[in-house]
Amino acid sequence: MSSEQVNLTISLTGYYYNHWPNLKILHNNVTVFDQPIVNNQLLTLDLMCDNTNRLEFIHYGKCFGENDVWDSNADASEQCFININDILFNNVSIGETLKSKLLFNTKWTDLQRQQNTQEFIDTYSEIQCYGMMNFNGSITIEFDTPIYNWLIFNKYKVPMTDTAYFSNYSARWHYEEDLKVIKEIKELIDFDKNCSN
Amino acid sequence: MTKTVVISIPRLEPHRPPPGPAIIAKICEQQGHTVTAYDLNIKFFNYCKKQNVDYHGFDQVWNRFADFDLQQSEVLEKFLDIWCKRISSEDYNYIMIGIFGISGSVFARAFLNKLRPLTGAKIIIGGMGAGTAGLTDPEDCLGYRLKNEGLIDTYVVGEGEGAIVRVLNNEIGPGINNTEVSQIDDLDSLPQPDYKFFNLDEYDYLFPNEKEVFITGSRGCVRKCTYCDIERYWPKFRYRSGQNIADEIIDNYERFGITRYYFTDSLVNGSFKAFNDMCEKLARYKFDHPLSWSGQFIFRDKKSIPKNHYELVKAAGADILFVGIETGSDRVRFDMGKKFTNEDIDFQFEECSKNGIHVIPLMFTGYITETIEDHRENLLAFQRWQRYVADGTIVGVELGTSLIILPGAPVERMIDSHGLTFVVDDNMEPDLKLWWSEANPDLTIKERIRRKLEVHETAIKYAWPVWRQASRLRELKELILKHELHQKDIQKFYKLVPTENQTKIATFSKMGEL
Repeated sequence: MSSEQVNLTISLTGYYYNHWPNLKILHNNVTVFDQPIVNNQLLTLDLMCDNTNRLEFIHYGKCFGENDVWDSNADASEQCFININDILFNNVSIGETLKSKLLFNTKWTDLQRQQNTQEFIDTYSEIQCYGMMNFNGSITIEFDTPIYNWLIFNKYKVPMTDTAYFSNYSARWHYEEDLKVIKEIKELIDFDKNCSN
Repeated sequence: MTKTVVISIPRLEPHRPPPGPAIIAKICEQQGHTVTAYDLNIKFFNYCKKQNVDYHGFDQVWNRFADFDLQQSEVLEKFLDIWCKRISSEDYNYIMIGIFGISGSVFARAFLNKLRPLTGAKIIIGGMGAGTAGLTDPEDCLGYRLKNEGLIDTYVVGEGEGAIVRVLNNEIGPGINNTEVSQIDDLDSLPQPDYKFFNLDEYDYLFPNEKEVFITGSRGCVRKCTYCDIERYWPKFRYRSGQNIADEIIDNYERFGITRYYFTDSLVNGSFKAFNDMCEKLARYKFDHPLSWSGQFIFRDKKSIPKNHYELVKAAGADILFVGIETGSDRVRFDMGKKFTNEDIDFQFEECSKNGIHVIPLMFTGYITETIEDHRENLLAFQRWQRYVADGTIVGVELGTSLIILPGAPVERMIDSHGLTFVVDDNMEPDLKLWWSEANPDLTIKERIRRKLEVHETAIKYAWPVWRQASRLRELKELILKHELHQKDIQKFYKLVPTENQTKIATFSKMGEL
């Protein structure tokens, strides 16, 4: 297993209500950050990454009526929550495409389960959240190294469309045909002979 | 009233109307002609679509790598029947045909073979394709051959704006039935392409419902890159003023709502002053829909770039800049005549990244002086600049062919000093892609192929947006098979040396088999 040091930068905003929201970050199940998020914060972490990695952002400690404490006002227009504005790996943003795929998994308390309908619980158990963490719960990103390769494929590679060859931007990162012809050429030519490699 | 039809033919990109015919049509109109224009390229594109035939499947034929298959032959035959009958029935005095490049020669010949017997009109051809010639005899161009065969009356080589008026006045001179180069100095005085002659709704725009056209800000090139043959066609670099270019863009926007442009210039910023002026004017104009343009662009020494320059370039509508960085080796890039370094590239990629400007680097492998150390430096470039792929600045990469010794390019004049030897084909014609140099003996043909593949694989390893390159690899494989490079050591060579009567375009004589 190879490892790669990856610089992780996270732009966050914490919104105060009764207290600042708590965030814990786990990398491959190891806690690498655990603090309240106060206003705008830019976290920088150096992570020693494996080939496959799991990054978990956990919002915790928000009260939803426990001991009659609510960390939000009545209409929820003001509340304690976190917004992940951006995540950058080695100074490169995950971009809008990946951000739009972030899913928030809600960790319901027993009281919340009692207070809400099953339909509500089902609807908001997994939320396409664009980085917003209102309930207690987590956002998980699974990523691979080399990190830039992972970013590139996940941000930009799209299924191939049937467009004219010379204009087909969707063909980018579909290397199958290139590799096939390279292999054919290598089979034709004996490069071990008369080459300076 | 003189009736004239101006025609463009495949192969052209189907994404934009052709500017050359749009200029010639305008000039003929200014001469008092009744003018019609047909873009047979886009007609053929749409005809193929209707017939469920792959228009791009003809590429191999236009490139002369393959013959028509039965279906292609039938489709082309029918298409030409329809259009030749129509054109001949419309009773024109002049039929002017624009041949964009050498890839138009197959269609041109098929078209003229059918059209010529049907019409008494004077047939004139022009465009780069009309003057395309081989290494051994520059006068033996497509126009010359078609005229000798009686398929055309006149061919125009080089810039047509002045020449076409002289042809209409029955005058002779440079560029009319000869390959002498005559350049127009004052580009601002030339008519702009008038797209009213074309149906702008029938094009295959890259962005649906966003009309896009070509625009030309300069002719020739401010640089003298050793591998490039631009000086053969346009020895002198000339450019329009920034105001004049901006005026054309704004006029097209106001008349036709066109907001997307592709510059045909060798370098859109060849004249830094004109480019800057254009950017300032465009950045100030209030477009309702964002303007965007793309084109070939030169990176410069970072010390010569004013602060906030790229901010202005973005504000003026820059979208994709095609930049010839060529290689990751500073030494080789300098040998090519490009005076910027990897550090300058770092700086400009970063500026483009900050300002949301996209870049497609243009590269190639196996320059005449490239050593194995240079090649290794080249490979490192893909890791060095991968970050700009990841952040979306680099949106494509052109890995090119290996160096071609183009007639008229400075590198052609190095044949003797570098002791270049070429492979010849069955007709004893040199293949300009297959050479090696006594001055750099390690860079054999096989080694160049190996390096090209290694560059390609490295680009893939670092997840670069390799694009449209499978066809280049297939062409390389065809070349290997054609010359049987895989089966034996290459034994048939010709050494080419300049003749005594060398013209500005060097000509060569065959010296015999080694």
